[in-house]
Amino acid sequence: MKEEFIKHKIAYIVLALGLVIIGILFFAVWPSRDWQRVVALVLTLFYFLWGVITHLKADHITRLVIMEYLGVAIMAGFLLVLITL
Amino acid sequence: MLKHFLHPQRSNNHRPKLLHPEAFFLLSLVIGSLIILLNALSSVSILSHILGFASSIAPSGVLSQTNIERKKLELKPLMINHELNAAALAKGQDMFNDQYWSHVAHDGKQPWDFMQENNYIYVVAGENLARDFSDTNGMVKAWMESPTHRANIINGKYTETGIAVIDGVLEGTETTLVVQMFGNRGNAAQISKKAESTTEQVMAKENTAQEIERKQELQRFALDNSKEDSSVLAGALIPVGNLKNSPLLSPLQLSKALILFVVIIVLLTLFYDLTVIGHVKTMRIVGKNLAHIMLFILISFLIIFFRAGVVG
Repeated sequence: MKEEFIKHKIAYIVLALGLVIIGILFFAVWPSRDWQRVVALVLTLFYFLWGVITHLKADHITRLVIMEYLGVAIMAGFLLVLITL
Repeated sequence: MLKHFLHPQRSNNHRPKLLHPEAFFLLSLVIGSLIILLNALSSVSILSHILGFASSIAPSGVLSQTNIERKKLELKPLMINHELNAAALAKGQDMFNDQYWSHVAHDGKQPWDFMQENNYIYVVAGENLARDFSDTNGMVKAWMESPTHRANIINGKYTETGIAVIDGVLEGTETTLVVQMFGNRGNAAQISKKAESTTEQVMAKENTAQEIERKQELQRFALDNSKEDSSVLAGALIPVGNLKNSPLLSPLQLSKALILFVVIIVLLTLFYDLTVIGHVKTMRIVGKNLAHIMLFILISFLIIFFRAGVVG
């Protein structure tokens, strides 16, 4: 895990920063559930795009990678939307 | 079978089946359906003592919390007004009857209409709504964090308030609605004061039978008023939290538990997959899971600390 992190240091720092900012935003917009859903959507888009761009840059992009990041991103966003119902 | 889902091996292309894209889509669908079912079940009367919404909100608590916030800004405390209480109660019942969650009813009826129907003549007025909160502190905190609701609570023009805490089923989910109305009768109060002072002058004469009758009428009015004032808070319905058969679990608690359970299973599988793949020399197209782990840790954190309640 450590090697993986060092190898793609900048990409993971961007991801960590993005996730922290989105996490803070999710609580900051409370009690508006509509805005919390918007933040969940932002998280979905951010994570999917991060995955695609990172793999594109590393020249590891495949259909399976795109589908995996799409699946994970949609699941994460959907879980957050579900909790706001 | 379980190994196929959780252990990277040849049968699952060296990636646990649970971490395949189709599994993520399927899991989302299953959890979504279960949560929608849970919310629907909470409104079924047979299960309402197990699955339901338990709230400890009481009108007296809302009033004291509101006045605490006002006191911080050295504003005068709000007084409970019987007509405003009745208007708030009518508004809450109307939302349950017509199944809406808004300041404006389906038929275009405004909060001010409820006030006028209950003989509250105001100069300025406002309304705060909240639902799904389990305690008063959290609800008032949510109002204070919303600029428009905060503006109502700390508006120096308001002198009176009316509060209704009502339990019922809204849009298929059992919940507690809180309606807080604010107002200032302004000129109406001045007119009333003038009338009182005129009556006092009239009473001072105490000569004619008409004046005695008027005095008796005023005493009756004062007595009725004091009775109304003392019954204001008690009349504003009993919160579910005070009931003997309060629900054991709320749909939100169950939803949180269900989502967390799934997220933890996914996280453990990701860690396990990472460990196994790290120890065997297998070429895989998919990544090393670190990003997914970071994302699901964030999701767990957000789910655990998610606060209930909606303000309107």
